Amino acid sequence: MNDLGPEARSILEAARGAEVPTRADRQRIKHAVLLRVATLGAVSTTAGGAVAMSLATKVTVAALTVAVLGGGSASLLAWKAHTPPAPVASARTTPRTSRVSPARPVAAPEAPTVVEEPSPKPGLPEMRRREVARSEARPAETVSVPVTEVTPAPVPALNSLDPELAVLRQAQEDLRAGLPAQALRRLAEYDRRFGKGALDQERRAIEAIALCQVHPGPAAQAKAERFLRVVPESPLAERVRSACKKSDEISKQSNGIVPGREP
Amino acid sequence: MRSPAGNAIETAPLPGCAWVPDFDAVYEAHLDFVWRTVRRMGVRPADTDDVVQEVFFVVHRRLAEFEGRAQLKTWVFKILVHVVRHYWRTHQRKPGDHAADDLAELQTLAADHEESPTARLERVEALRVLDGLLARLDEDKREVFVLAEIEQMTAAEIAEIVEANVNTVSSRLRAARQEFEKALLRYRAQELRRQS
Repeated sequence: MNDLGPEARSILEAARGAEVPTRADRQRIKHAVLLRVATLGAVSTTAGGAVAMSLATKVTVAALTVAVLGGGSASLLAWKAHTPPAPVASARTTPRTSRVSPARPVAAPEAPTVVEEPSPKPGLPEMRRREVARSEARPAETVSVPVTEVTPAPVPALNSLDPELAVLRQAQEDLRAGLPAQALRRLAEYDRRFGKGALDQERRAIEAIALCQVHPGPAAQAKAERFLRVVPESPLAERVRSACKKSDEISKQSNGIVPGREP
Repeated sequence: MRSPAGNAIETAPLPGCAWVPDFDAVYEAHLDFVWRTVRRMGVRPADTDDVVQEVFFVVHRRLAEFEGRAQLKTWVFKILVHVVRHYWRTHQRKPGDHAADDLAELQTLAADHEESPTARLERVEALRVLDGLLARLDEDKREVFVLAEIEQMTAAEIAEIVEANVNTVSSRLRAARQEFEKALLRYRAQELRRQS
């Protein structure tokens, strides 16, 4: 039996083109892909491997979070443990800028080996027949895209994240430089420009850490606790907890309370 | 860049011209078939997003390496097959094991299609039957069958994608067709018994 019967063909025919992603699916997946690409650009070499292991969008966002805050590979790895590993992007990640540019060479040494130029060899008769019939009857099967679509076009999903990412990166740099007040000013700028932006969760983590450094006390603690209450599973939770625990100790010491000896 | 056939995406670079396909265009042109194939390869609906994302993530990363010697669709498909195989391995379940769980999740079916409710129901039913039948094929046969019978790729293209020779592909396809037909006969017999 080399060919399918009419009923089987009918089922297959019905399946062709029947299941397509919705417009929302298209946008969501593209956004997630570009976010991952942006993440690779933002992430440091220490965190990059962990980032690249992620599959799901939520992990990508988490990775971006760590990328923004830096030095969070450990927490990201913990997060990653709940996520199936990706098949192809798992190792070294070279720093890149986050701008999407299809023409830019992208290092993906661990990706599946893709060999081009199929070597056409004689197939069996039924395959040959189908090839001929297809070339005549289904000219639209091959991909056809207007030339205008092929020319480099802006990538709104990623580009829309770039400015937010840039501000948060600067804020993180300020934190690293021991300038938490400056980091808070950056966050004020972030609020002014983006409102509740796509990276709001990351923004709030930076704010909690900065506040705990610059104004240790109940207000900073409240910010940190709120963050931890809202997103306890965040890969940044540990960093926030750690930064604000220190600030709490400093605050108590400055008030004459020895940690661990409260009534 | 436009080929003589007017197919911009599939165009090979001109000598000395460093042409790289645009990711947006590649995405738009290939998402439907990647999505459809991922689904027919037995990836459960809940995981479809992740797997499709992974395919295009790899496509994005490797796009600059595409030299235009092969058809872009074949190149993308090859990445897809690698990703789906990895999915099967990491999920430690054979493709289609989820089929029974997934029957209620065909709501994305033809979401953008303008068709009558009856026609849509018929398509849903066809897909339900198809997924059930595909689930009976092993991985190798399923890959070849989906690529040949749904995506209508040639033996040479499939051989390139699954990294097997053309005779092996043809042999797998022949066996897959036989199994598919037998499975369909069994399914119809069961339906008849149920109705009677």
